[in-house]
Amino acid sequence: MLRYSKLKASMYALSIYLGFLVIGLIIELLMTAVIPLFFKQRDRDNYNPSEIPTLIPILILGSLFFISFSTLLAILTIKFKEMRMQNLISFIPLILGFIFYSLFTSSEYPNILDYTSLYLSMMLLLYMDILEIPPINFQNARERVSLDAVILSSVLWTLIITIIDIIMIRRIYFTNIEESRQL
Amino acid sequence: MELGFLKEIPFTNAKIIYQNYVAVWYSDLVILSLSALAVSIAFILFVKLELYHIC
Repeated sequence: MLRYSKLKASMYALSIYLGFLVIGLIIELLMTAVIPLFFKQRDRDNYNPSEIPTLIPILILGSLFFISFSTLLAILTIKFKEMRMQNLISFIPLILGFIFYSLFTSSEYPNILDYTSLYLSMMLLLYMDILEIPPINFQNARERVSLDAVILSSVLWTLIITIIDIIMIRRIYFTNIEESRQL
Repeated sequence: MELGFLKEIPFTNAKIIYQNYVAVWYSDLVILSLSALAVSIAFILFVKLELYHIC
């Protein structure tokens, strides 16, 4: 795809990330402002996040992960010519989200998932920020979760997926429309 | 009723090519996945209000 241009795959990925990061932050901040309104029953109720400055880095971490993850999904879809599955693939991040979020309510999950599943990590960080409590395991409230490890795992996930993205971007080839009809 | 007016719309400027189609779908995918974070915010408030008790 980038054979005849001066654009590098890493710069391409970086520009995609930065562009979507702005959109992501706007969407997330809007959602954070609007969602508490749904839960408001009385006038004195206030469920807004306590500290906006700590919320923004958490949202940036989360947005970067979701951008890299959906970029990976999109590239894999283009690579394997599965555009007929596009509507299902669009919902994979959300379906995964619902599976992980429902773990809280339905069953006990192993502690290691707090660190390995980015959905649960983001949940922990947001929970910590909105409720002003230290990060805890949801199933076992006495057990503290290491904050550094959660942040480290989210950065690692994003980096690993980004590297895979860059490698895959280099391997996408332009197919002529006439040629693709024959495929 | 026949939709005769459709014939009068010039399609010279409508260039829906495969690449544009993929680009639109891709941005849709990103925004949908970002909304997973919003779901988590809603869930946190759900738990905070004790609409559901964590066992």
